[in-house]
Formats: sequence, C-alpha cells, structure tokens
Amino acid sequence: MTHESAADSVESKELEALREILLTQDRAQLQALQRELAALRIQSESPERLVAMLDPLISEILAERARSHPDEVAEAIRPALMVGLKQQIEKERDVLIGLLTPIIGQTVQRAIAEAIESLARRVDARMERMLDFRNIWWRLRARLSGIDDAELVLRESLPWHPEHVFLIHNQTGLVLAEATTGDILEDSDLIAALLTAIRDFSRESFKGEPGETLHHIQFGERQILLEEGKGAYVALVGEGVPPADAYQRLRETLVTIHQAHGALIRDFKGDAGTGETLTPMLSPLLQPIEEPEPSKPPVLGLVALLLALLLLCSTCSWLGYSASPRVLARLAPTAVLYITQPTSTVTPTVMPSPTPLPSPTPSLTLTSVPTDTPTATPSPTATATATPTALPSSTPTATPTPQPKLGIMTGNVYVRAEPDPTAPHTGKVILLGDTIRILERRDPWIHVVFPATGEPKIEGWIPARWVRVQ
Amino acid sequence: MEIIQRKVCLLGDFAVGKTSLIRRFVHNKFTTDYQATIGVHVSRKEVILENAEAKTVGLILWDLAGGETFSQMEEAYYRGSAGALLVADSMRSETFGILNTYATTFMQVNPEASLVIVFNKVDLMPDVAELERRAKALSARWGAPHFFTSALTGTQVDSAFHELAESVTRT
Repeated sequence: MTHESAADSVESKELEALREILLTQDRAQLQALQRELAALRIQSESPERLVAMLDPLISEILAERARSHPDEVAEAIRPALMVGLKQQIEKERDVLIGLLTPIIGQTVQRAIAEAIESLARRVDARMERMLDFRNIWWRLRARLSGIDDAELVLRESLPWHPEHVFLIHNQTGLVLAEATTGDILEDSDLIAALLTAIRDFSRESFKGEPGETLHHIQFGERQILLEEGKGAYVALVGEGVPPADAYQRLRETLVTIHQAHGALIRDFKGDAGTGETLTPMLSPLLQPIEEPEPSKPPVLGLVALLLALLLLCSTCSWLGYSASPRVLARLAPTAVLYITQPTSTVTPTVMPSPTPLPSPTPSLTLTSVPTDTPTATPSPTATATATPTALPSSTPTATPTPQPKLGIMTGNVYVRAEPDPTAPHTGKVILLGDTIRILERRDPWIHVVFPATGEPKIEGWIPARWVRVQ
Repeated sequence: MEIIQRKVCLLGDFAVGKTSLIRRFVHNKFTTDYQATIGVHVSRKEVILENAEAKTVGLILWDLAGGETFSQMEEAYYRGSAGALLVADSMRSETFGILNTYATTFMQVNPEASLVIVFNKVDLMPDVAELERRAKALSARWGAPHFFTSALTGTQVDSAFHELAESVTRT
C-alpha cells in the first residue's frame, strides 16, 4: 500500500510538471482575456464610459455614411433636424434673424431693384408716347377725375399677362370656346363647370340685387375676371394687375359674340363645333396691352400736335376775319347754313355763311337761300364739330320722320324713373346683350324702352355709358 | 369621331353611394371610407357609343351633395343638365321614395332631360325580388330604366352610365 502511494505521488508530480509546461501560456492568456472582459463589462454598464469610448468614432462613422449614402442619412436625421430647428427658432428667434438678415436682405434688395428697373423701363416707354391721341384723352379724363399724371403712368405700367379665356354657356356650364397663350388645358371642361358652380353658389348664397353676379376671383398672383352675358359668360385668367379697361373689353366681346351668334349660344346643348366659330372672337382678349416702342420717337404725336396748332392758328385768323363788320355786311344777308345730324330730327340753325376759305370740317355744306329777313349770327357755333352729313335742302323746315334708334346693352343695368342717380329704381333690370329702343337722350342718361319691338315691358332712364348705340 | 358634351347630375339621399359610383366609373376604384360631398364635385368621363352614329360623349358629372344641407342650391346646379342618375341605397328603403322628390325638382328645371334610376350596394342584398318590385314601380312612374349596381364590385356601373349617355344624346 505504502509502495503504491509513493508511486502515485511521483506520477502526480510528473503530471503537474507536464501541465505546467503545456498550459502556462494558455492560463496567462485566459487571465488576460478575463481582465479585458471585466473591463468591457464595466464600460458597457456605464453610459459615460461607453460614450467616452465611442465619441472619437461617431463623427467618422457619420461622415463616412453621409458620403456613401447621403439620401439615407438625410432621411434619418430630417425629423430630428426639423424638430430641433423649430425649437431653436422659437427659443432664439433674434439670433436667427440676425444670421439670416444679411442673406435675405440681399435677395430682397436684388428682387426689388429688378422690379423697379423693370417698372422704370415701362414708365419711360409710356412717357415717350405721351403725345399719342389716346393717351392725351386718357390723361385728360384722369386729370378731370383728380388723378395725378404720375399715378396714371404708374397704373398703366403695371404688368398684366392674360393666359386663358373661356366662353362658358350660362345654363350648362359647358365650354363654348376657349383660347390660350399656351397649351389648351385638358381639364377646361372641369374648370368651366366648377367656375359655374362657384358663380351659382355665390349668387344663391348672397342673394343680391337682380343682375348681380360674381366678377372676380383671385388666387395668389392669378386673377380670373368674369363677365356675364345673356347666354354665356366669359372668364379671363391672367397674372398681374388687369388694365382699367379689362371689363369694358370683356363686355364688348360678349356683346359682339351675342350679336353675331346669339342663336348658336341659345340652342347650345353641348354639341361640337362651337369652338371653331367662337374662338377667333375670344383671341383678341389674350393680346397683351399694346406696348410702346421706346426706340421710336413719337413722330405721329408730334405731327398731330403741329396740325392741331396749325388748325388753331387758322381758326384764330378766320375769327378775326369773319368778325370784321365789312365781311359781315357782305355775307350775312345771303346765306343760310343747315347742319344736319345723320338720323335725328333736324333743327335748322340760321347762321351767316362765314367763310370763303376751305372749311376744316368738310362735312359742312353751305346752301344759299335768299331770305327777306336775314338774321346774322356773328360767330360760328361749336356744334359744327359733330360729324354732320350735309343735306342740301331747299326746304329747311322739313323735319324727317324719326327712325327708331336702337342700342345694345353693354351691362346689366337698373332702370330708373327719372334721369337722376338718386331717382328710385323701377325694380326692373335690362340685361347685357338686350336690344333697347332709345326714346330720348339727356346726357349722361338715355330714356329707353324694352323690348325694342312689340309691346314695351320696361320703360325708364338708364346711364348712356351702358348702351352701345347702333 | 364627333365629340359632344353633356352635363348630367347624380341625385339621391346622403350616403347612397353617388361619389363611389363616379369613382368606380371614372377611375375604376373603390374606397370604403365615407366622406360627405360638400356642395358639388365635378368629374368628366368620355363614353364611346357604338350605335349607328358612332359618337363620343363627354359626360360632365355633377356629383351633388345629398340630404337637406345644400338643397337651396339644387335648382341652380340642376340648370342645363341633359340627364340625371337617380341613386338609391338598396339596403335603405327610405332612400327610394325620396327619389321622387329629386326627380320632380329636377324635371321642373329640365323638362326634356333623361333619367336613369340606380339601386346601389346590391352586393349587400341577399334577395333582390322585393327590390325588383319597387324598382319597376319607380321606373314606370318616371319612364326611366333602372339598374342594380355595386360600386364595390363594379356590377352594372358601366351599363347604367352607358344608358345615361345614350339617352342624353337622344334628347
């Protein structure tokens, strides 16, 4: 037994020595790994230490990711970024304004400078054609209304870009015709239907006076001008500030269309072919306002001014000549001048035949009629400016039978009992496109009956500016 | 090929499926979420008629809000319509009788217009026998053909609109 245990002891020592030889290195490595593991565990359980460890790497990883997958990174950080930005703006608005002002300020400055430069070019161009007759008349009207020239030029210089024009059937809301400066819209039928729905909605909701309707829709810079006729209405879509006569042009176009194609519009149910007929009549509404050509001098205006001065001089010298008693004595007893208006009743005006010179208004005619009791009017009357048609007549007392004078309404207008804007309404409205018969004119009012033929249903006074006399 | 346009209205009580029918007909789609129509919604769909005079009809579909809310606008919106699709909900018998009110008002504004009657949501109906009897009575009263449709499955939707397109080109 003792011998056996001694042998075991020797064997054990040898095995231990062998283990020592074989495992010493592994044990050392294992201990090192255990220490590292313990250290990592401590780091992972402590956020501060973990952050400290990863911190140097995060920016590198992000930079690399942003380079390789920019969209993904943007998508990932966008929500947080937006929230952060919003909060930051709320907290430090002033700081942000301070940062952005130089950038935005410059952009705004540039935009304003460009707009003013463009406006200045337009104003210059307008000024260059100030001598145009139309402009002179326009300015005169503005002056009488108390509007300054500068304001007028500024108003005229504001841009207006018409884009689309629709002629829409009142009843069905279907497009009768359309014109555009670009491509024809695919959804023009829907636009027309919805415009009609909006118009009807406004009319029903705000039940105003008879004839009142929706005239204007604005969406951002885009404007829709609406003008309604008897069977159809026109919708003009454009950008900018519409010119002062925009609605007048719409009304005139509507009246022309109704006059020429009233039956076509009345009988319209949606059948094809109306566009071909009516579109050419709409297209002029898309033409931009006539722009002046700045490079050309206003030759026409100057010529017109010179002619006007010449005319003034000749009139003055003629006045001096005709006023002399010798001339009056020679001419007065023998001549009578009749000035006749084309269609109205004629009231003979007895005047001396004043001039042997060629008349500046060639439509005046002299007719010599011996009279027993000559009456001389020493000065010519201003009525000679009406473009009269001279009727040589030896029977000046004859009064032609008055022809019924007709007119077309260019708007929906109340009829009043008296030619006075404060006079009470008769409760009747004559609609745009209606034909009326004119009984009497007392500017700026006209006494009318409607309808023009047959038994009158409406009679009263309306402003003359709403009637186009035929 | 000649293209003509016609305005038609869809009339009926609220939630009978007017908008769903249009969505199925125009876009071939159906959604289950119900949103009431505010005022009016306008859509357009071209229908090719293969009759003797081959024609393409552009139907301008005015989907009007059902119920009482917008009734004061009705007459203004009806004006100029060549026809109307009268829509009832097969599952709600109270929506049948009200079609008479819609049809009466509509025909007063457009005496020459055509009508087509539609009983929608038939996919929910186990038996259409009773429905058939009432449909015939309505059809006879207004001289209008009727259809049993489902905007969900598309059953007879095209047929109903096709019939309407045919009839509005005859008026």
